[in-house]
Amino acid sequence: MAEPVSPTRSTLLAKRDQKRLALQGVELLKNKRDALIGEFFALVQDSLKAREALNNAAKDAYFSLLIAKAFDSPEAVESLSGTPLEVSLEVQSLYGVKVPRIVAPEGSGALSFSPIGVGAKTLEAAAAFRRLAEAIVAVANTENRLRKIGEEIKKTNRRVNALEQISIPEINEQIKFITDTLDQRALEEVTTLKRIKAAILRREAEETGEVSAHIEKGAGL
Amino acid sequence: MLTRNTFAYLNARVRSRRSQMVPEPFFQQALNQSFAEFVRMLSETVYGADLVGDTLADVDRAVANHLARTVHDLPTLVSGELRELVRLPLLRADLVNLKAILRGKAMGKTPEEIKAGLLGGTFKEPLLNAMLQAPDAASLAQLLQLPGHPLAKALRQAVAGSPDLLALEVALDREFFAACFEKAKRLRQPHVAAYFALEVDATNLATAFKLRALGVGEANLDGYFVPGGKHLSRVVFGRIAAGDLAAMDALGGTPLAPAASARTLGELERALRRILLDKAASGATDSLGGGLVLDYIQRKLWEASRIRLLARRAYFNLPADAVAKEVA
Repeated sequence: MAEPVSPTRSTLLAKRDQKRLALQGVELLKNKRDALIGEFFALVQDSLKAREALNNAAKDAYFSLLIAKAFDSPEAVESLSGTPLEVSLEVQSLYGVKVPRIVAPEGSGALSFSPIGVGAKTLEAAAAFRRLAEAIVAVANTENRLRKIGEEIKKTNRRVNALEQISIPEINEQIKFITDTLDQRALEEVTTLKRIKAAILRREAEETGEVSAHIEKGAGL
Repeated sequence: MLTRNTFAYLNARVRSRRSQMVPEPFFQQALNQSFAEFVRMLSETVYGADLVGDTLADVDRAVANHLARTVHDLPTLVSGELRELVRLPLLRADLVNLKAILRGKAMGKTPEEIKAGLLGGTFKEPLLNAMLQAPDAASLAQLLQLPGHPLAKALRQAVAGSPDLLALEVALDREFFAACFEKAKRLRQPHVAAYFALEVDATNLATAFKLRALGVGEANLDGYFVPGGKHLSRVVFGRIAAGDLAAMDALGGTPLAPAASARTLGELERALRRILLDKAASGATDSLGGGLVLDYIQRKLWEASRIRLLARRAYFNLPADAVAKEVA
């Protein structure tokens, strides 16, 4: 239900401005939604590719690991694990959506353990797990971006719907109410003025003893 | 007379153990078996006594327990210089454990977590517990000094200058191989000393290939070169590490010649493994020297690697081709 408004001309002007603003907002939000949908579908392909790369990297990494564990013993290989991959976080703005982006250091091939005496298979496994970590970061980036954009599309859609189906009809209703009230008031004012005019004319006619059909008719209002 | 401190006594024990090694046809048959069949066949070998359960972890545990029972106990069979000699090939497990402790401490792991991932080396339980409680690398070096462990000097020298963990590990590895070679020379066992010298060369050659793959700059190479080898000079090491594989021609006419044609790390490692196993086997005929025990240890370690590899192939149902080259 529309909120009560004072039916004045200034409120009517304000409400008309509000309506114009709401219509502009709807237009802008629809443009934003279309742009986000375009970005979303472009990212879906990237996301699928990143997932596939992750699966391949995981397959390679775990195969290398099982071979490495066979050659260098499971304990020796596991003792080399645990070095965290240092990543940094950047926040990008995409059509006003804040999207975090994880940045992994460039793959320089540097190891976190001594290569002397370590088997080739362990070294291969370390490199494969490094690639796997980078693939995980890539998937995290694309999927997080996708999720954020998806959320923003939903949010934008809700805003468009709210404006189109609630706010604008409400403002229209308020404008109609104010217009009706103002028209009603104007009509009442005209009627009152006419009655006053008729009363004045009748009084003047009585004073002068003049009888007028027009005055008689007006007096009957 | 067969006293506990003669090679005759030690080699008699080792010969008896050698006769129980897993025969070669086992590895060929296992290439095409399912995991259940593999476990059944393994249970019929000397590993059967250590095999409890039928999962991959059970196979790994059986291999580790079997090695502890048949290889890592060898130093307890003898004493004095012989013990030092027998302990030398087993020090690699101590090096791995020491690095695992240093790494675990740097990562903030608890002593229990670190201990759960250690190999069965030659560290005694009280020493291991004290090492796990030690606050830093310098304290670890002091603890190792007390029982006169060969790694104590290597660690003390590696710790000098307070390097970061990676630099410490590189220095420790470097000192370890050099210390093993020096120790073997001092024990007056020419074959064992020659084996360790060749191992130093093999380690340097493999390291050069790894550095080539990692793209480590020329300036840092000295830190990775282990002194003591006979056939691979620092210059050739540097050239290979810089990517000049033509330098491998310098290995012609040396015991490392079979590895000269290798162009990838995998090929090189297979060739070096063969060279070292052959070198160890060449000393096995000396019944009054340390060659037999060295050969036994190397063969048992290779046997364990092959069993672990075949177990994984069968467990993950991989094609035989995926591991056949490695097992051969």
